[in-house]
Amino acid sequence: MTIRAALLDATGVYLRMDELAEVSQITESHLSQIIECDLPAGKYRWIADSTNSFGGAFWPLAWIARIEADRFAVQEAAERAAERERIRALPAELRRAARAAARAERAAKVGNLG
Amino acid sequence: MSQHDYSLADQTGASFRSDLNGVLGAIVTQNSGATEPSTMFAFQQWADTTAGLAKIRNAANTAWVTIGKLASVGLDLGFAAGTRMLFQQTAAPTGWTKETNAIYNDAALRFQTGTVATGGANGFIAKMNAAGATAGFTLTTAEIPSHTHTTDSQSVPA
Repeated sequence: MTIRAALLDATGVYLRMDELAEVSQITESHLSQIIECDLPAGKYRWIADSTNSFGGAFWPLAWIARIEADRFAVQEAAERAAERERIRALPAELRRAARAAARAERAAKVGNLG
Repeated sequence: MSQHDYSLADQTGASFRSDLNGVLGAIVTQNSGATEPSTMFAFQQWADTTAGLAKIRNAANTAWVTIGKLASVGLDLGFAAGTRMLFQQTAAPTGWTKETNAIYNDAALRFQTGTVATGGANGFIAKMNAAGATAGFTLTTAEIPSHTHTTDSQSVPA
């Protein structure tokens, strides 16, 4: 009797269903609770969720990337809005210098991301 | 028929509106289509127009679970015609027919993986009672297992 388990890569992306001869062959990269999977390889990532009856679910990689990018964009917009408010509250003679400093800070941040 | 990957890309206003309407179209049509959606999510529904079935992804998003038939009232949920089942009630539930064949009176269930069958000539109650009625039974000599008896010796004064 073989044991079926889903195999993930190091980042939690689904690779394939494995058929193992013994329980001892189940590794940390296997999801032993997943005994069938019709998803394509390399397109979905396992995200653990203790409220899920399977202990988690597979989510589309492209969709996850979009959500993360949007979250960053929204956070960035909120930070810039707060920054504008802070600069507006400064005395007029300090605003120009504060704006320049903020621009430099943003540029450095983007550079770090790259 | 409408499906969408449920990911709204960066785009101009008109394109965004069109894309968003595509999402809404997919939602209101239960992601209907001849083939499964290209991008799938846990608990996502799919009106499979090829098989004529309503389906839903399982909680782990690893398989489709069929809910019922698209063209049937109530999706034809429930049991296939002819299904036999036990109910502990006098009258059959709505939509079910009570089995009245006398062969099932005073009968017991025995499980087997082969062909379903009925059989046996002994009533269940009588057999159950007989199995426990040993009081008053007298063992024959042949039925008694080997054993020993011990007695204490006693001295009697002369």
